[in-house]
Parts: sequence; C-alpha cells; structure tokens
Amino acid sequence: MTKELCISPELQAMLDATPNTDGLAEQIQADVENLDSDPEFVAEFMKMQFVEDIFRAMHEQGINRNQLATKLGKSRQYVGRILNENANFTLETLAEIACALDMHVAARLYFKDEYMVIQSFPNPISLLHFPNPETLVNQGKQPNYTTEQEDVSYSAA
Amino acid sequence: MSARKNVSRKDVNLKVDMDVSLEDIICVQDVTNDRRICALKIGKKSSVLAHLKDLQASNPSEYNKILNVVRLVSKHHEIFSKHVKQGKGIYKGIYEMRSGQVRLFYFIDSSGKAIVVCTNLYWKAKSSPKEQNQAFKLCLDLRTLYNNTKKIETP
Repeated sequence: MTKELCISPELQAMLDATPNTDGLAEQIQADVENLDSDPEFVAEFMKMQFVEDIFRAMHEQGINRNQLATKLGKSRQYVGRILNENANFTLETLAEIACALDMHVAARLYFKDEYMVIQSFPNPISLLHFPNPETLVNQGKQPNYTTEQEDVSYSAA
Repeated sequence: MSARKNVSRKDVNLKVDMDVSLEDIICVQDVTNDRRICALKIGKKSSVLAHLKDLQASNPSEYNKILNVVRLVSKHHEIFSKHVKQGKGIYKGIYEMRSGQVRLFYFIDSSGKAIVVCTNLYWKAKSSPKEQNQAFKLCLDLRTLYNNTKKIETP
C-alpha cells in the first residue's frame, strides 16, 4: 500500500542516486549460492565464528587478553593476532584455546542437510527416548538400551 | 554560509508517495539463524542492495568478507568481536558491520522480532570522515522513517 512519507533532502538524494533494485535480492542469491563451495569463503567464516566464540567465552568468564595469554602460556601479541583473525589457525590452536577456556571444540564434517537438522535442535540427545535407568532399577529390571544396529530409526530423526 | 544552512530540516522535508518495506537478504538465511537479515526498501529502491551488487562487481573479495559478517550477525543476538560496532551519542542504536574497508549500517527492528534492518553501505577507502558521519546520519534518518511508517510490508 502506498503511503505519503516525509523524507529529508539527504534521503531524497540517496533515492535519486539509487537504481531500481526490484529482483536484485534474487540475483544476489543466485550469485552467492556457489560461495559455500569456496574453501576460502568457508574458512573465513569459520575463523570469524571461532574468534567470536572466544570473545563470548572471555566475556562470560570475565577474563581479558592478558589473562587469556597467561592461560595459554603465550604472549599478549599472539592473543592479539588470534583475536584480530591474523593468526594461522590450526587444529592445535583451536584445541589449545578451547582447553585454556575450559570449553569443548568440534571440527566435524556434515552433509549440508544433516548440519541443518543438527542445528535445528538445541539438544538432539533429548529427542532420543532412552529408558530412565533409575526407573528400571526401581522396577527390578536391568537397563537394556537399543543399539544403533538394532534400531535405525534414531538416525533418521 | 550557504542559504541552505539557515533552513531548518523540517522546512525542507519533502513529501513523496512511496512505500517502505523489507526485503530478506536470502543469501544468508537458513534455519539455524537467530535473526532475520533484511534490506530496507523505499518504493522499488534499496540503497544497500544496490551497493552490495556494485561491490560484488567491483571488489569480490570485500564483498565476500562483508557477506560473512552479515552471516555472523544473523547467527548471534550480540556480537563481541571487532566486526560490529555501535554508534555513540545520538547514533546509539545504529550499528555498523565492519569488514576490511566496507561498513554496512543497520538497526534492530523495535518490534522484538529479531529483525536486522540494513540501510546503507559505506566504503571507507573511498570516503572521508565527514562522509562516514553522513552514513551514520543516513541510517538514523532511515530508522526514523521506518519507525514512523505505520504499514511495513514484511515478506
């Protein structure tokens, strides 16, 4: 629905300089679909995400760069390079930082659809209906868990 | 002093028949996102989409970098790293995504629906500090316009 709007001259100038962008979002979408197959693009996001996780952990634990450097047994400059995403990130680097921050780190490979399903559920293990061992013991039974080989329905979930 | 400086902003406001709407930046959307990333459109024009398209053609490396920051912002409600800065003073509530030489300005929709509204883009290497302030101001003006508009069409 069209509505009469009051806009400033600066906005008017911006609009005058902007071409019609109808359908541009779809074009951009088509252009960037291949980016997820570009290792450089993917690696850059992983690095960005990991550094964001470090900042978040530092914030939650109330530690600064100096304290992180002490925990890592490295120089403050090294921590600076990590946080500026200028360092060479290896699996050892990730593990060292995770251990220093008392956190878990995972480097796994997923099919794209599988990743979406995993990320959709904050706690996928809660979806598995294992019998409660305490209940079984109270009933005088031994816990008997189904294995992956016996019941494949879990993997489909 | 130019004559324009003596005229108040209210006096020079223009009235146009246009619609304010949001367009999803779908290239960064997936089900794992915490926030929805949109481009602000006035009529059939979106400054941020036009600039992104230009950037993609002129500097693909910078384009890829800023797209990754957009993805990061879509996945977290709060960013602690260097990639997002909030404006100070009157520009509080205006944020910029930072990557290389590119700054993408945005604000958060006040409806509480976790919508990030991208408004304009600024290329640091080609602009002066004055233009950087203008980019902040432009985003602020666009936020005011957005909030004043009663009927926002959401896709």
